[in-house]
Amino acid sequence: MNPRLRYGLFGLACLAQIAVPASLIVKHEQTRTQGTLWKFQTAPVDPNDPFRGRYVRLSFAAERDHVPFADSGMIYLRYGTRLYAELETGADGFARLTRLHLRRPARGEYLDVFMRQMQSPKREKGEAEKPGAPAAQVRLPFDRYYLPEDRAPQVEREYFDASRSARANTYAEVRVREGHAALTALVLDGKPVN
Amino acid sequence: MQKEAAWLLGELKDLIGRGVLDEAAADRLRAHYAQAAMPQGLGWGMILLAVGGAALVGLGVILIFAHNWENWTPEVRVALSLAPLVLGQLAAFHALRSGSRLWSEGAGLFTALAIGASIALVAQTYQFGGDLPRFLLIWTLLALPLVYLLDSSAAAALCWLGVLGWALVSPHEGWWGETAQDALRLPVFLLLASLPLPHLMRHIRLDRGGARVAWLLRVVLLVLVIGLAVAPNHRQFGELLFVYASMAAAAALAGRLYFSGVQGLWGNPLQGAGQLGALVIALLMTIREVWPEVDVPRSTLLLIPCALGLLALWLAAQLARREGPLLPFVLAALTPTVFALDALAPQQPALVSVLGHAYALVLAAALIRTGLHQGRLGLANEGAGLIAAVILLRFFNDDLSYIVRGAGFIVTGAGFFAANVWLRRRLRGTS
Repeated sequence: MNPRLRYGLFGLACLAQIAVPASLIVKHEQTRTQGTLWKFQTAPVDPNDPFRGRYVRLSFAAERDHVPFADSGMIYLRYGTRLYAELETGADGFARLTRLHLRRPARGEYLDVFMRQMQSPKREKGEAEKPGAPAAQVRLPFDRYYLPEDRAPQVEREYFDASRSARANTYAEVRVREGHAALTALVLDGKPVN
Repeated sequence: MQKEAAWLLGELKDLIGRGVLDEAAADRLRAHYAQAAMPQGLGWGMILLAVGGAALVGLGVILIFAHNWENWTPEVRVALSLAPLVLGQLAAFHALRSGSRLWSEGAGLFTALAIGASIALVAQTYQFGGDLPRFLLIWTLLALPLVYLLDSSAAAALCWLGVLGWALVSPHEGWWGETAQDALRLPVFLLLASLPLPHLMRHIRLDRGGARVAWLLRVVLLVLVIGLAVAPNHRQFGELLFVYASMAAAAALAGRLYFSGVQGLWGNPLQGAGQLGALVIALLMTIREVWPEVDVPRSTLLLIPCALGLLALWLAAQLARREGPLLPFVLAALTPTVFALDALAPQQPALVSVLGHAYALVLAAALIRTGLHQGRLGLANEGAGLIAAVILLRFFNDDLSYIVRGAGFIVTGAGFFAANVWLRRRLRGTS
């Protein structure tokens, strides 16, 4: 290979290697500084889910709700499909996912989420299947909070207790900009985790 | 030799500049004389030290940063996350300029590790959610240029392991569900696994008996054997018998044909793994309970046994000219036999059992005969071992008393020893 070409390709490879983490940083910084602040209420984690090392595994109440799709009719989506959830603040001050879109909404506040489980419209016993918008449970794009490794086990225990007993004061602060989310703080029983 | 080789390598830049040599010829000379230019007795040892040192230093730096020191601001953490990558790139640049193989391997591996570390540490600093398949895919693709620019086999091995990691975790995370059908997962795995292959092919052409080629082949075989089991979406393990049978036959024949001068099965991973695989498949074919679980692949996976089965036939035809037709064609018949027995199994289970045993015994006979003919006790022992294993399996499999089983084990073991002694005498007699 021509030496100039080899050095040129090496330079391009180095740029690409730096560009990936750099683009993550830029996108996240933009979201942290320009995004809208939302509070996501936590839910108890699965006690069988083992401690993950240096981060606390998070679970959210919004992931347990069945969120209706904006489009009516039957929709089949695979697990993990990217969806776009409209965001609203509920009466308790926490973020709610109100509707799911298959395509990125043109306006309004929304968050990129991932398909977990479809649910047909609710019906009474013996009632025929109703036409209408199906709903789905989704996975939020933030599921862990990194901490110094010596602090993580203690915080995970506190998080587990707080999620069970003091749900109203236990939440994650998340900034959202054009669907991208940046987890900025974890608040346990009213106190931010540092 | 070392002094002359070092002098020649030092002259290459000048010779290219004067137009005496082109870059391709210089590359071939570098590869050919690289080992000779190193101090005697330290060649592979030094390379392993460089690779091991780079891996340990890289992993150590990652672990220290991953402690997530609370006193560091996000800016400091980001700078430190990118520092190993920049350091690795500087070392890689030095390796590129010097043409040193030690530096190429060490810097290639260190930089490849640092790419993954920098992404992971930035994700930790900014509290990203986990998307392991995407992370492994991006890491592997970013490390791939190092394989070719630095000619780094350590980076190639890491890329293959990255592809295997992607195949292992992607079905569970549903990453491909976002953009593509599940049917694409297997072709994508094969495509990704083929990306470092030209590097291996180049070194096979340059030095097929070298330790570098043997190590790369071991990694490729490991990645393919595990990857083909997990990459297809619907993991029906009964389909894998066809895949592994064709892989074993093709690998054993390719190893015998292209690496015949290489000493020992450890130095010839294709032949070693292929023959071991063929023995295991032949043994499985004798077990009646296996066949109801076996199912012909109905997805793109079917292309693999078809393509490798045809390749095995072609390799057998080439090999038959050199060492006779018996063993090559018995090995090549492994895949068609699996297809035929699977087709017969629902209607004729007893016949399938007989034919399965017949194939195992023919393979054993071919191994013993070829081993005796070529004066290779190991090969003949493989055949004797297969016969012993078939007999022992029958004692496990069938409803016999402990006394009969015990007696059977003793007789089989004694027979195996007797066969070994007889083979040794035969080989001494022929040599």
